[in-house]
Amino acid sequence: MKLILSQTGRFIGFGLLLTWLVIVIVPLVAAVLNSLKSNIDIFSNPLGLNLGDIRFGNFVEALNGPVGGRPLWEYLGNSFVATILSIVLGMTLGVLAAYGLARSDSRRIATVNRIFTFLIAVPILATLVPTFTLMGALGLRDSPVGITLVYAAFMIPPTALLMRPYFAAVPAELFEAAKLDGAGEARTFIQVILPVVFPTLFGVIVINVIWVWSELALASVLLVTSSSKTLPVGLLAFKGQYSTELGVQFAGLLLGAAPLLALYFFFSRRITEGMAGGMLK
Amino acid sequence: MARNSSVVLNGRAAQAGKTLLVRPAARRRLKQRDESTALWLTAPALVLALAFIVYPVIETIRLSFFEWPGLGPATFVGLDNFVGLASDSDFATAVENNFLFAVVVTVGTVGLGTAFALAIDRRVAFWRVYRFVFFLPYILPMTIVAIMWANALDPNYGWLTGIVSLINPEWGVGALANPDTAMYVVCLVAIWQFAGFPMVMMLGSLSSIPRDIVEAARLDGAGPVQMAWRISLPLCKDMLTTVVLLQLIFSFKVFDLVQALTGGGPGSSTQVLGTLIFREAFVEAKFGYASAIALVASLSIIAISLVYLAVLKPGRIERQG
Amino acid sequence: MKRYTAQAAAVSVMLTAGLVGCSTAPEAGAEGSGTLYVTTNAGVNAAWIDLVIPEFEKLHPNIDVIQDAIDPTTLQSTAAQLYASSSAPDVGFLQTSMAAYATLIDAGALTELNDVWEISGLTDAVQPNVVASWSVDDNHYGIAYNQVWAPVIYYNKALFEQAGITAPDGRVASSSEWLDLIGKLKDAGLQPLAIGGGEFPALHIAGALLQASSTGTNPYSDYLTNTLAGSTTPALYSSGPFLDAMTTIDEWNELGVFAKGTPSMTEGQSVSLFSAGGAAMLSNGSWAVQSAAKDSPDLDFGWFLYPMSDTGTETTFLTYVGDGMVIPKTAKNPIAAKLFLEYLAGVDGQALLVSTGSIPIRGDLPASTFDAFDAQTAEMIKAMSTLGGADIWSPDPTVNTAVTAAFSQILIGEKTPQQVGDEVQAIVDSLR
Repeated sequence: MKLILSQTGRFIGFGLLLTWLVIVIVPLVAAVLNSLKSNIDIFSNPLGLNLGDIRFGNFVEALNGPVGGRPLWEYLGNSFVATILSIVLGMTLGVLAAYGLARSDSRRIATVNRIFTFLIAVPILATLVPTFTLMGALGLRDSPVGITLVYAAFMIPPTALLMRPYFAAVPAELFEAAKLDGAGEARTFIQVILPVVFPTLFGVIVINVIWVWSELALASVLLVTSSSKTLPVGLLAFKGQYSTELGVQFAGLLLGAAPLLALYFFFSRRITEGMAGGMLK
Repeated sequence: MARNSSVVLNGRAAQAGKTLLVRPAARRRLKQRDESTALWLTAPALVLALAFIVYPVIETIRLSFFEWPGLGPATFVGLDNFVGLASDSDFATAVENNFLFAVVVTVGTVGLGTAFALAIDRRVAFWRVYRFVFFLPYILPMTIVAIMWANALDPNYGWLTGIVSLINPEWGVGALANPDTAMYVVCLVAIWQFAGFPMVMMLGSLSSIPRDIVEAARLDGAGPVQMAWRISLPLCKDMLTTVVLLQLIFSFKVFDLVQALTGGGPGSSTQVLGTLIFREAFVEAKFGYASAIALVASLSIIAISLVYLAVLKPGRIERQG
Repeated sequence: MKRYTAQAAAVSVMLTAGLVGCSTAPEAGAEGSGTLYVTTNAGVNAAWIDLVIPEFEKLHPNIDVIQDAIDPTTLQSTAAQLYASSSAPDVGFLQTSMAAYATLIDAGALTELNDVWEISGLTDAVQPNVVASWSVDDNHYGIAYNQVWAPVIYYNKALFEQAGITAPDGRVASSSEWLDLIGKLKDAGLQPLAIGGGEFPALHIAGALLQASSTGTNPYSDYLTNTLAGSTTPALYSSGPFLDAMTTIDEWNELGVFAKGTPSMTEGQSVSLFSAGGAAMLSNGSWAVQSAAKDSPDLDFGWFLYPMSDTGTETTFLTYVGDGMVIPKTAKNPIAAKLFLEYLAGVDGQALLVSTGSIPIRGDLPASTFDAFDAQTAEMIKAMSTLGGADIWSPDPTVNTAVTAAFSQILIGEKTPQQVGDEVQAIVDSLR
C-alpha cells in the first residue's frame, strides 16, 4: 500500500516537474519564433513559423534601432555602463554597510538598521517626479552618473539587509585570529571575511544585476536623449503612435535580454550554486 | 557534495554561540571601537540612501497634502487626498487586487519554488535540467514576459487561448479581456516569472543541511514527503520566512509587469497600487493624489512587514534591534 | 539692391506657382546654426521627421538636427515635466488633446509661434477651425501639421463578397442597413468589427455615435463646446444624444458586433486582426490604411462611414487636427527651432508627410502631391467634399479618459449606459 502511494506520489511529482518544464519552455520558444515573423503571422500562426516568410530582417531592423533613436549597440553600451557603475557603487556601499551593521549592536546602529528596513518598502515609482526634479537641479539628467547614483541608492537597503546575517554568522575565531596576526581592519575584511561570505555576495550581485539591467521606470524618466538611454528605454520607441511592428519589437527585446541570458548560460552553475551554497540559514 | 566551509562552521558556531555579533564576554572598549567602525562603514551607504531615497520620499509625503498637476504652483489641500482615497472605488479595487496578488503570488512562487527545490535537492531524474530551466524566466525583462503572455492569451489567436478553451470555453474568450479572470491571469504570469527565485534560495538552504541528519532519517525509513515535512523544511525555516517576506514586499510594489500586461484594464479590473499611482500621476496629472496613494502603500508594506516579523520571528527582532 | 531683386523674384515665383513655403530668401541673422534637438512621437511622427531632416539640413547646412523618438505612453506621461525643464528639446511633439498642452501653456512654458504661422503661410493655408483650435487667447503655441480622420470603417472586400454584402457607398444609410450587414456577416460565421477598445478608438466610436444621435435641438456642435468653462449650452450627457450613443454601444455589444477581446484590445491588435482576416471590418482612422497595408500588402479593402441614425442625422468624417510641434521656452536653440518649424509647416515639409500616410493640414499643396497617396486615402480625400467633415469629439482630457474607459466598462457589463452618462455629466459640470 505504501509502495503504491509512494509510486503514485512519485508519478505526480514527476508529472508536475515535466509540466512546469513545458510551461517554461514553450512561451520562450514562442517568443523566439515571434521575433522571426511578420505582424500577421504572429497573430494567425502563434506557435508555428511561416516558413515562407521568415523575417530575419526583424533583427536587422532591431539592431538599427527604432526610427528617431540610436542603433541598438549604443543602448547596450549605456546599459553596460550604468549597470557596472551602479553595481560597483551600490554593492560596495551596501556590503560595507552590511558589515558595519553586523559589527555592532549599539542603539545607533540598530536605528540605521531600522531605517534600511523601512526603505525597502519604498516603491521606486513613487519617487519618480522628485527624483526627476532633484537630478535636474544637480544637472545629472541624461547622464550615466545620475542614473548610477539612484540605482546604487536603491540597491543599498536590500543588499545591506540580505548580507548582514551572513556577516554576523562569521565566527569570532576568524576575526580574532586575523587581529592576532596583526591585520588591520581593511586587511581583515578583504582577506578574511569577504571570502567567507563570497558565495552569498555573488548571489546578491546576480539579483541586483538582473533588476538594474531591466529597470524601466526610472530610466525612462531620467534618460531622455536617445544617446543616453539604456536598453529597456530605447526599446520602448518601437511602439509607435498607431502601430507596432511586433516582430521587430520581439527581436529587439530578445537582443536586449541576450547579454543576461548569455551570462546565465555560461555561469548558471556558479549562479545557482552560488546563491545556493552561500545561503545558509 | 562539497560542503561550504562556512556551513560547517555555522553548525559549530550555532552550538558555540561565538559569532561576530554575539559576544558573551565582550569588553566595553572593544564594543565602542566596534561601534565607531560600524558607523564609519555604514555612513556612505546611509548618505546615498538619504539623498536619493529619503529625500524623494519626504517630497512625496509633502506632495500628498497638495494638489499638483506636475508643473506650476501646488495647491494645499490638507487631508482632501486621503479623504478622496477612502471613497475612491478604483483605489479599493487596487487594494483588493494587490492583496490578492500578494497572497496568490507569494504562495504560488514559494510553494512551487520550494517543491522544485526539494525535488532537485533529492536529485530526481533530470535535476540539472530543472535547475537550469526553472530559473530562466526570472532573468527575462518583465516587458518581454508581458508581451509574450499577452500574445499567448490573445482572444483571437493566442496559442494558449485554444488550450484554455478546452478547460472552460468562456475563459477562452480572452482570459485577459475578461474582468473576472484577468487578475488571476496576471497572478499566474507573475508566478511563472518569479518561481525561480524562491527555488534557488531554498536550494541553497536545503543544501546546507548536514548530510548525516538526512542519512539518519533515510535509514529510519522516511519517505520523501516525510523527509521534507519533518526534517528539511523545519531546518530551513529562516530562509523560508525571509523568502516569503521578500515576495510579499515585492508583490505590493509590483508595477512593470501589470502595466505591460494589462495596463490596469479591462476597465479597472487589474489595477494594483503601482499602476494606480502611475495613472493618477502621469495620465491624470494628479501628483498630489498619486503621492497620497504611494504613502498609503508604503505604510501598508511597512506595517505588514513588521507584523509578519513580529509574529514569525520574535527572537530575530530583538537581535536586529 | 541685389537682395531686393532676389526677394521680388521669389515672391513672384510663389504667386505664379501657388506655392508658399520656405523659399523666402533668408534675412540677415536668420541663418541659424548649431545643433537642434527634436523630440518626436514614435511612429508616424518620427518617420516624418526622419524624412525631413536631410532636406532641412540641405537648406541649412550649419544646423545639425538630432531626433529623439519617445514612445507615446512615456511622452504623454512626461511631456509636461520634460518641456518645462532645463533639459527640454528645441522642438517637441505635443497634442492639443493632451493634458500637458494646457498645463504647459498655463505655466508659460511654450514659445509663442505667431510669427511662424505667418511666415510659413500656415494661417491662410488651413481651415479656420484649425486656426481656432490652435489658438489660446489669440496666440499660437504650436504648429499643426496633419489631420487625421477618425473613425472610419474599413471592410475586407473578399469577406464581404463571401457574406454576400454590397458595401455601402460612402456611409451606411441607416441603422437597419447596418444591422442587416451585421446579420449577414454573422451568418457567414465572421466576426463583424475589430476595434481597439482598450485605447483611443473607443473614444472615436463614441464620437461617431454621438454625432449620429445628435438632433436639431441638441446639435453635435454643442457637444464640441460645452465642456469649456462657462459654457451654457444645454446639451446633456445623462440623457439625450450621448446616452443614446452609449445605449447603442451596449446594443451592438449584445448583437455581437465587436470581435472577441475588444475590451482590452490595443489599436495595433485590432489592425492586425483585420489584416489577418479575423474580422470583416475595422474601426480605426485614416492612418490605418498604411498599417493594414503594411501588415498585409495583398489585402483588398475599402471604407465607409458609420451608420446614420434613424433620425437622419448624417455622419461625416470627423477630423482631428491636434497633432503638433512646439518650442519650449527653455529651448537652447530657438532660432534654428523656428526655422525648423517653418519648414515643417511649409509646403515642402508638408509634402513629405504624404509618404508616411498622413494627411497634410495645408490645403494649398500642388495636386501632384496627392498622387503619392494610396488608393483608399485618395478616395477618402475626394469623398470629403461630398460627405463633409466636422471636428472630432475630443472634449477634455478627463472626459476623454472617462469615455475611453466607459467603452470597455459597458462591454464587460461593469457599468450601464445610464451610469456612464451620469458620470460624464458630473465631470462636464465640474469643468464648466
